[in-house]
Amino acid sequence: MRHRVLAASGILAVLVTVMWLVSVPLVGQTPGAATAGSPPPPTPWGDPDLQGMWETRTYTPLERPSEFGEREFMTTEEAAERERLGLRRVVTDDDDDIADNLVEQDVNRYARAFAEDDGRPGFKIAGAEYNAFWSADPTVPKVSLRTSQIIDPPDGQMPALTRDALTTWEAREEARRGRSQGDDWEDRGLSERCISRNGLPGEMLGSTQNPIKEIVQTPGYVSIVMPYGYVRVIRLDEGPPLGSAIRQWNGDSRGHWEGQTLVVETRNFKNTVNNVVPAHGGPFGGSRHVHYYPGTGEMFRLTERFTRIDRDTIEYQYTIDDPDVFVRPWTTVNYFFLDTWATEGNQDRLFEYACHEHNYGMVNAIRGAQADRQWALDEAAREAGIREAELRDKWEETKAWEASNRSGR
Amino acid sequence: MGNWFRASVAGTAVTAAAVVAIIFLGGEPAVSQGPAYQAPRLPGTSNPNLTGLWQAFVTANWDIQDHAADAGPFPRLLGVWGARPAGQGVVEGNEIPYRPEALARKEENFRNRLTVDPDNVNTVGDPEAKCFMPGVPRATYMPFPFQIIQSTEKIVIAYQFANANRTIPIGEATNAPVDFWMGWSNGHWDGDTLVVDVTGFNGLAWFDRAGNYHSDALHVVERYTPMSPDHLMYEATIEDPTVFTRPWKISMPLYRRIEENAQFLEFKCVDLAEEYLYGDLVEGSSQGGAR
Repeated sequence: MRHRVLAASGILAVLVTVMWLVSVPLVGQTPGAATAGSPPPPTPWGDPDLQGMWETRTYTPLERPSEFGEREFMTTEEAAERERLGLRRVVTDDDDDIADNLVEQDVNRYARAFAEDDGRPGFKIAGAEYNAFWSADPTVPKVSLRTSQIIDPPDGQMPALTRDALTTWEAREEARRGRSQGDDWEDRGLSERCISRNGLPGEMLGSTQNPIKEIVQTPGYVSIVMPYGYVRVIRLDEGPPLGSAIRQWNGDSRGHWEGQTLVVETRNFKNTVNNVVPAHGGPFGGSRHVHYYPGTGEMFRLTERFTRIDRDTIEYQYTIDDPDVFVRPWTTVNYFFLDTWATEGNQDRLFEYACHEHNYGMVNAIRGAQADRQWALDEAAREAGIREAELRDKWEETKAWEASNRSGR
Repeated sequence: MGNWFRASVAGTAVTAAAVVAIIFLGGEPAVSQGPAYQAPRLPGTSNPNLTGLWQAFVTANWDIQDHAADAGPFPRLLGVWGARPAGQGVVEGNEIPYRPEALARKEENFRNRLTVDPDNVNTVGDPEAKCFMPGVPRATYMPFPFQIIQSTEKIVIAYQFANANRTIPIGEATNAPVDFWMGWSNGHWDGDTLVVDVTGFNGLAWFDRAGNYHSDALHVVERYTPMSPDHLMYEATIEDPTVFTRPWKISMPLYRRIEENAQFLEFKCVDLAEEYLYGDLVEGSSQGGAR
């Protein structure tokens, strides 16, 4: 008994230490002491207060890398090694270091223009669309020692796709055969078309360019100002459900409070089979995100849970339940941090994101594909090859799941 | 009010008209006078709570000035679907004080309102047709509702059209760091009226489909005043010395959408505008034809 208590407290100590590991530098902090005071008092109308500008980047991989096996958390040594390898992009809050980092990034960017062309269109400018200023870390991102965002299933892996989803994926590939990268606008990905960056819930997590979300509350509503040109208006009252014929890119969100936790359920997602073509890059936009998998959206139910666990931190969980696409639901956890740049009074709102209004790239992409269609066809075929390999892997996963499920019965 | 004012000018001597104008400019919006309406407060503040789904019911998006019914640009293609309803203007006095060269530009805008030039996508044609953000004040009177979410220190307005939105901090004003389609808004309370001072425009938005426009020197002062549980009076003073010779004003009521199932919906119109914007670049576009 005594032995077990000791062991348990040992585990607890490790968890406390590693969950809130704040990356370099640990200014005035010791690991485990990052909990920065209690959450603020409730709003004047009695709701838990989630308001503020939140830094939502994560450096935790969606799926657990195999090197971590069954472990939910990595050691600080492992974290340091990943940082060294650039798997966790972290700069210090020293301005000079940020400046050096930016200079280095820009030097590398320009260097590409002089590199030997590998024959791919756009090679010399790929990655140079933005200079380093736009991908700079505005604040030191805090990182957790989680080995994966996925906490359920416990193996940290995205569940297998259903046979229906795989067949749909194949049909979509078939429909794309013979099309180039830019025969028309629908040959480009959703983010290049300025329709959706990577959909919900992917957009809830930041990228280096647009890491901040702002939450503003009032009785009956929670709104989340998104850095991609829209506001999530979340109704807290019951209200009649939205008719099933009304499908939206970001679905229809309804929220309620469970204790200190805001629970948001989103349905009525758009049918992405008909609207999403694979973007260049990886399988569905180079993003392993759920929204790019060939779901129909008809059954997709997203459940998000927002809990302010201390003054500076929201624990953010989402659960994907889409029986048309995944053989079982899955859940992730991430952390949002109050943005210090904003709390120190440097910025009082998010800036406008006018993507579509200035999407000159679309005109250029279509004209480019016409100027040399063969090139555009070859490039589309090359990308189709990448997706084909991905699809084969997904079939293997599905068959393996089926086999283990049968043997388990 | 605009009509009444115009009738007065037409029918009376100049001095009398001036007196009428002074009376009306100085007074409250000309809705039924009565004891001032006391709107419910936002808890924790002394301010009225403007939260809700609101919509203007005017035809100002076609033309902020008086306009007769018209067949619209494509009667053969669209029948009366494309027609413009008759409507009374929202401009006080119905006159927009353009500088002469600016008036010529307005007329050119109208002629080219449905022109798409892939090389000048931001400077030719009505931004609305392209699903570009409508700017301020046009966002207010688009034929779509918008959602106000009012907190203690900030107010968010989410517009259905193009998912445009703005965040309005209440209190100390800050300067626009760069230019925006929707401008840079600073809010404060004048009694029960929310006053929003907007600058920092990029000068690319229009006022309406008639080609009325402004430059990046635009300065808009908006006033939102609760008039009843279900309506606000909206007034906006427009100042842009590079386009207009003097400030001018628009006003209209905003109505709360009171249907039980009324809610904010998406109108992320990008995919609805792509064929319009890019279709001419694509020969034999697979997207062509009626849908």
